[in-house]
Amino acid sequence: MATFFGEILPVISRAVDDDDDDESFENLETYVKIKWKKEAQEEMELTKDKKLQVNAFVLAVGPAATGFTQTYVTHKNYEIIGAMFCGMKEDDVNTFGQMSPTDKTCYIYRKCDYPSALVCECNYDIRPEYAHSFVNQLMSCLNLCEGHVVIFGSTFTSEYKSDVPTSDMNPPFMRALKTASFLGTPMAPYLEQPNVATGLPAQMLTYCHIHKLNAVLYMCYTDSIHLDFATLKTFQPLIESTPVKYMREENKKASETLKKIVDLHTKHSTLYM
Amino acid sequence: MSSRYDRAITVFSPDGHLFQVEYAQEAVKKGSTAVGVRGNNIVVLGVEKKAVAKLQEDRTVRKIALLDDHVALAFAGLTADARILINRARVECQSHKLTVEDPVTLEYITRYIAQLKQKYTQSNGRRPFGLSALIIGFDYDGTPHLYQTDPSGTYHEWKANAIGRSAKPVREFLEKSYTDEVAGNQEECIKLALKALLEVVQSGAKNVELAVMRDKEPLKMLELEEVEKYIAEIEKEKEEEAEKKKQKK
Repeated sequence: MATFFGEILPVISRAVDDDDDDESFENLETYVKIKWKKEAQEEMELTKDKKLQVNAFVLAVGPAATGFTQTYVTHKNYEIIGAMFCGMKEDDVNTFGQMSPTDKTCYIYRKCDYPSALVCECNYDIRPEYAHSFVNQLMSCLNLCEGHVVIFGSTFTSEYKSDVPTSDMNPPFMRALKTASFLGTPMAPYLEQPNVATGLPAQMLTYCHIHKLNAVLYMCYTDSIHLDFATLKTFQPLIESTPVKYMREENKKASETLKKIVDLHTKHSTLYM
Repeated sequence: MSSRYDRAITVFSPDGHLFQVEYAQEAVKKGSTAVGVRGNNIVVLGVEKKAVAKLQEDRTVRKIALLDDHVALAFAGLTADARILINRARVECQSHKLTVEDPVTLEYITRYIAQLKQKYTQSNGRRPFGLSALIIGFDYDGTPHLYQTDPSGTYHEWKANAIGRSAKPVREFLEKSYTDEVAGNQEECIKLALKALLEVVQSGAKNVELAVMRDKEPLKMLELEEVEKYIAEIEKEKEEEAEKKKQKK
């Protein structure tokens, strides 16, 4: 309810019965499920600790990051070896068959000629309360001791706090965070205080930090509601980041692929012109 | 602190902000780029053309609208707000013509649009218009004008300006490249608008729309072939520049 002076006050009515939700909260641990392909599972059984040996791991979260990795990394020479499912019921059928670009999917890809390089592309939002379970289930199957991890994510400039107005910062722009074990310098400026990374990318970085893995998180701050070229282009210099530079695949049709991805996300929007 | 003051338009925040107006200016940045250039005897509007869905009618996705025979407008921001504003402006143009038997001056119609926008920043329960407009045209005495309005209701006259998504780099390009020489040559004005747009838009005649107005002539939307011709000329000039630089070295 808006008052005469413009403040918003909450309105409570005795006529409406605010039930407590009948459904009990989904058990956080079982909400997220990981599923590996048969071959990958067999490989894991053969190792001492039942984990996949991984030297290079890329986690891309959100449409911008996955658009980038799809264009420059996983478009060729990569096979799907696993998938993460979030929010499926016990009796839901989940397969590796959802290949439409508009499907909400989270697949794990492995480079065909470099089997210890993995890319996990999650093109939809994982709620923060499930991020812990997601990361734990995923990382408990991977042996990453000497490996490099890089995490790509994107968020809105409205989440970015600074004393400089965001329009003066020329969005979209990139910021980075790293774990203590990572001794190099990230390819983007560090995320300034008081800003915090949140959600799945932050959860993964925290896991890496605790387990003393080399990891860098690159967060793109964009002011565009829908995916656009500028945001995708901001990721481009990161092809040279470790370990992406060892995992990338040359894509001669990069601009076409990017255009398709952008079109997928923007065609239906006529709110702004 | 801002969350209590950014909901209703009539409330100033303690440090003097009208957050709703400032947020409306953010809405403008969600729209694609539009650029306007004023020459000595020509005015040019260029817009970034949005990709149209396959089943959508192209002509209903236009960023350039005619307000009267001698006035045109390009906007960036909320489409629905723009249509309302354009309608009101069109009615005002005719009303003015019938009342005082003269076509509106550019300053008059810009002032009208701006005052309308300002009214909505001072009204209880209404939100501001989420768009900026570039208004071009010729007064009856033959002087060309280019005006820009924004959601707060201010308006200013410009020699060249840009609004929308990548307005800042485009404006910087215009500041570097706009000269009196360019203003004196009609072809150069058209090419300047096109060059400015191509700084931020994916190259290709299909991604831009150009409209040109000359004194006592109706607004002319350039055909695809004409735009392609200008783009070819611009590329040739760029190559020649690059060659010259190489030779100097």
